[in-house]
Amino acid sequence: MFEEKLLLEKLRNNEPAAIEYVYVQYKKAFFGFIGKMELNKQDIEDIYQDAIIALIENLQRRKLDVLMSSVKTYLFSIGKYMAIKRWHKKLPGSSETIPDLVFEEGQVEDVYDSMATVIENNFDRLGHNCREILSMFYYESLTLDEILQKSSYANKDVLKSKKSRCLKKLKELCKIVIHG
Amino acid sequence: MDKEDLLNRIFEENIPDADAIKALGGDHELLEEYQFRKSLQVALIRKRRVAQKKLLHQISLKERVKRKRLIWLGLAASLSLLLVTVWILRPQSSTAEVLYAQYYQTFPNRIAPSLRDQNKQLTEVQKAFVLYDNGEYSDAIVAFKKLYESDREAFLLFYLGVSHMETGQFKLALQSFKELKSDDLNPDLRGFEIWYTGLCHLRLNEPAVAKEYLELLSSNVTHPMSELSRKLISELP
Repeated sequence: MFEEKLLLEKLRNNEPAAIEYVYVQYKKAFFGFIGKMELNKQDIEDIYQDAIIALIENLQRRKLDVLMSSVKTYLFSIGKYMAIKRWHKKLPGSSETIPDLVFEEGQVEDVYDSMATVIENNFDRLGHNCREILSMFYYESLTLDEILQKSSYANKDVLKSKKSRCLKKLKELCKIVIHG
Repeated sequence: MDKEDLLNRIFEENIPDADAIKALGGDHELLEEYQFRKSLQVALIRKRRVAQKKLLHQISLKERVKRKRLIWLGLAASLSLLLVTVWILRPQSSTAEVLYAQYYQTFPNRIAPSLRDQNKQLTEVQKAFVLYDNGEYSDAIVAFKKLYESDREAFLLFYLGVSHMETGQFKLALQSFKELKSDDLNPDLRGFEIWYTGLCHLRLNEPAVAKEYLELLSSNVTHPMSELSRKLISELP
């Protein structure tokens, strides 16, 4: 059994044991809670997994430093919202869309879809240091100062120029030319 | 503020997309650069979601397998418990039954050995012993009874008794052995009716009565079953 604070830290660090713990710990109650809606088991399983992913993502992307409620309550409220959204979609003649409040980037994704796909396919071709810097800055939403504290770069300028070189390398790998 | 700093600030401060584009002030090159970086952000989020979804799928499969295994283990445990219970509650073979099984043997046909000559007409007695030799004891019982009613031969009663024992009818067997007179039996059968009477009582879980009969035989040192009778007496419960 994890202490709640320690559990959040482990989820933020993407530790599989903590993710498995959350999945197993709350699954039965979650299915009972969401099962009251007219959704099939597979839908509920998808929603449950997505709710866990949203929890982890919000922790990792610094959208959620402290939980005002328990992990369980937070998961269930995300899950309930996702379930309503999915249930609404299934209603005959439903045209009204419910905004995605869970994944912040949900609506933005479509605009950058094609370029993101190319980047997704080439990102792992970068070296380890580049992947680490770019992930910390663009995924984990760490500032350059925070990254500097976590890394061995001499100063912020060195870090900034390293990040710029990494972006340039990624563009080359993706054959993306920025016209200037 | 230089362009690079502006772009970094947009991401560091998580400025919403629409506001960010406005902040770029119509600089086309800067907008393209921002869009690339925003796409990178979207790509990283997606990559992480895909990896986490994969991990959760594996956890879900693992959990399902574990649950199935638990169900099977539960079933196996229940089955084992049932088998143990059945074994404990099974009808226990008594010592007398076990001894009977160890000592009982079908008495050989010493009256009318089966003939190899198929063309020769069999007598009724021979036909009865063919049934006996073939292990068809129920039919042999009918044949021996019928023959005894007409012939009144002691050996017929003896083999009738053994046939009853073979079919598990020990009380009927005892009746047959009781009815016959030992002196009327062929010399090579004589005394065996006592042995089988003892065994019948043993099988009926009456070891004390069985012992009385076996002692009659054990004291007759010239009888072939004398030694075996003594041995069985020593093992009686």
